[in-house]
Amino acid sequence: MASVTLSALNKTYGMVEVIQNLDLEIADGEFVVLVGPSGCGKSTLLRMIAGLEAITGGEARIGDRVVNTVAAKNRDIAMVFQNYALYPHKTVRQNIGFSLKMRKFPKAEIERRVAEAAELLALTPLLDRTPRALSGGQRQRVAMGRAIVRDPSVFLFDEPLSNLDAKLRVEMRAQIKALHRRLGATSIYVTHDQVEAMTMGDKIVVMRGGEIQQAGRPIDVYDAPRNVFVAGFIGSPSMNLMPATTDDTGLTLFGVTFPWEQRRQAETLPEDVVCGVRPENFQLCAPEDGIDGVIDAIEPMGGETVATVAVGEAKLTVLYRDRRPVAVGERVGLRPDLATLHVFDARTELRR
Amino acid sequence: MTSETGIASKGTRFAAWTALVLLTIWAVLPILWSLSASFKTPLTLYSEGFIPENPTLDNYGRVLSSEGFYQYLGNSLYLAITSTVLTLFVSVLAAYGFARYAFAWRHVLLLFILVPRILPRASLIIPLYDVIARLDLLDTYTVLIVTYTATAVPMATWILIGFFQAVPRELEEAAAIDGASIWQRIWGIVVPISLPGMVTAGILSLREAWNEFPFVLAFTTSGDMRTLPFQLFAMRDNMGLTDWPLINAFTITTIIPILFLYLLFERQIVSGLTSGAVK
Amino acid sequence: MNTIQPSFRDRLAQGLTPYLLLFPAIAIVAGVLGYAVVRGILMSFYQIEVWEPGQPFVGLRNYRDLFGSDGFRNSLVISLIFVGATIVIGVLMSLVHALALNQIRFARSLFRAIALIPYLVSGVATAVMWRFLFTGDNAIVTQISGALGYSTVSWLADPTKALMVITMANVWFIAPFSTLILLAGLQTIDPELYAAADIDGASAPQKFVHITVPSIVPMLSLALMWLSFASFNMFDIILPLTGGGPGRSTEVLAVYMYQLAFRDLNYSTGAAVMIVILIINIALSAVFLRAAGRAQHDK
Repeated sequence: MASVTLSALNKTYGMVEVIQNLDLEIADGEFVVLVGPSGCGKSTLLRMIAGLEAITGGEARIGDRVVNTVAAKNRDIAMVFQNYALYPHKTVRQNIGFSLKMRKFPKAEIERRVAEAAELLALTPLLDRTPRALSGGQRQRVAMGRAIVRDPSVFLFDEPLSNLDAKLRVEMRAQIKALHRRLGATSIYVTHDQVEAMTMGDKIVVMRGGEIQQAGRPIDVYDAPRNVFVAGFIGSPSMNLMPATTDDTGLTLFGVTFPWEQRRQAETLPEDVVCGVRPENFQLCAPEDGIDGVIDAIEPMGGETVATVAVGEAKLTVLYRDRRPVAVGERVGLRPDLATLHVFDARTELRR
Repeated sequence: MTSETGIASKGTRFAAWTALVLLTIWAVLPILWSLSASFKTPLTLYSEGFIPENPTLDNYGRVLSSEGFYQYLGNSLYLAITSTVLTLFVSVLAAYGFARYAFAWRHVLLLFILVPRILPRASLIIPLYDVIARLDLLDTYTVLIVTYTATAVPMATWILIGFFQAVPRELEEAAAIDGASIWQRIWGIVVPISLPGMVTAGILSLREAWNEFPFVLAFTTSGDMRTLPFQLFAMRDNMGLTDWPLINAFTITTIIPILFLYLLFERQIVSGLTSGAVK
Repeated sequence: MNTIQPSFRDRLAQGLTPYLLLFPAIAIVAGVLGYAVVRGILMSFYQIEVWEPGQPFVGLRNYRDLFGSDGFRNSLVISLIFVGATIVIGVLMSLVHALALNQIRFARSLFRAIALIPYLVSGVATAVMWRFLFTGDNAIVTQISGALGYSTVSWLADPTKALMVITMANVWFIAPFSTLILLAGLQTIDPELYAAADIDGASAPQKFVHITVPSIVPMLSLALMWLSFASFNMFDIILPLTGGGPGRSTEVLAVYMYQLAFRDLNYSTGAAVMIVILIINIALSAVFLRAAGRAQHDK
């Protein structure tokens, strides 16, 4: 077990900066999810921690040890790859035991550890097959087995579930979490799927353009996104982000003014803001009681319904859980719940 | 003109089959005629038809007991196997370097793999003979092994580069984390996964060495150094009455080993040859 | 914040790795083939007798002697006829063979395997088998041509017929590889193209002209390159089959070079022939690569 500390980390390819001056502290035993759109640098960051990419500048520590120039095999980490990286010519048993063999463990010890890992992952009956003869979920479990057999200080996961179908993904999500609870090892998990991030992480780290946008507990990030990007990225369906203006009386959205309740001090706010409302925090009402719009599309999902409302050029998303007799083309009004409203400075895009 | 549409006209199919049967006969007829003669005796050679009336294995017995046969067979085997092992060893390292690294001079060095493919073997014998004679290395295995390897390495490397590039980098990264050194990754991960490529490169290099003629002709003078093709050449060169049943049995004997290997791995060789030639 | 760089030793090892991996291959290829070419060029400018000391520099005299000699001009002409005939016959045969293989479905891989067999046989064995077909009064081909009312003289005793025999043996030996190349080309053609052409009302010959041929132009030029290279440099078949005879009627350049050096012991003129052969090879490959490049470009 070990903590992972990154300070002022940099990575450049020629002139391109892919990781910029990044600081991150991962506590011992923590499950941290790096999340962001593709090209945000999250995989590069993971590979720098793994030792598969050289570190251009700054410092990476695992436990108390600076690992910048330590070879991957000596960092005491294990990694689960997106395509599992199973050796096709070796059996499941040999795949799981390979790292122990490379480290010259005694045969009996390898046997014992492989058996233990296989038991834990329900792979025992498959030990003598080759990866070719396994299903996607089974291969994924072998990749997990190969990681846990080493009992490393840090687990690294590079989008390990992206090749599975939706149902299996949900199942494996729970399995990985259970495994983490059981082993208690520090884990760093990369994904582009914010649902995975929300459900799995003790802490999530939202990245864009090689920089950390926000790091924190999933629920804190969801409730208080630090900037416009995080607000739009976390949450599904995503938050409505609209230009608005403020003054002493209240907030003006699409020409409709909603008076302040006790919560906000108007004088602390800039005049031009970006206003964020999650779909579930809009209420449908009569057209004259709120923002005037026309229903553009309705997606009933059973438990909840997502409606898209066209307001001028803008499209707003509303989520409601009761049954309503609304139809496409109908005029409706929208009222934001001011208590859960997110306000961002239009210039800096930071939360106010 | 394609099989996939499945509705090629009867005429097209008839034409295709006629051409195919004729060309297949053309490809095997010289070998079959030689095979047939190898079962006849000098007396019945021309009087009997395609199928020998009283087939005899006598000629093969005479080949096996002919003077120096095991010496020539041993030479051929020794040269083919050592040069192939050496070729594969050298080519695996080079192919791995080309497949996995982007380095300065890469393109210049790649020329060393490509250019030799337009250097005909026969044209090299004069300068090589000159230096070999001066170094007093005529009639040595070393010279033949080195020259065979040098001519086989470019093709083998070229074939292996394609196979190595197809091995996912992820596998090697996993192995690196698992603690494997670059040497262990090459021989323990990349090579076993590229086994079809190794088989192709290996058999092509065996074929080159087994069938080689100009080098052994020019660089050896002693009868003890002859390989099977050289001995075959010497036999047909004999003055006087040619013992055709014996020569044909000898010819067939030299063809069989390589043909056997080929038929065993035909699929790999064809795909390896195709990709090697096409790139 | 102090920046930690990989140590100098690590970086050196990292940077050197590819060169270390390449070193054995480059060393042996450059050491043998590269040396031979350079040495060959030098030899062609000197007067060299292997067992005699003293090698006077003679400049271009070896080349002047060469271009002035009847033997060389004869070989050049023989080579051109031999290569030209091989290319024409070889490309037609291998194209038909590849088309037929691509057309059938039953036992295709068996027929493909058989098609490549001559490629596995050594040049010497090929020569001996073909010699058996044609040598002596009783050789099978002589018997057949006699039965059909033609001359019963051995084909290998007649200059023109001997050239025909080495050409056919050569086609037998090298065309299979070009069949393989063309077949690979045919198999990359999208079957939907033919389906679309069927619907557009194209006949079989029209499909051949408008779809098949344009699609395999790169492979066709590759096959031509192989055929011309292999036959231009052919040595293994001709020396054992005819030894260059009767007379000098089958003495192609490679055989001429060999005889010059190892029979007449005229090494430096032999080296000059080698350089001529190399130059023609380079010119040939340049022509084909440009043609292939242009074809690729037009597509």
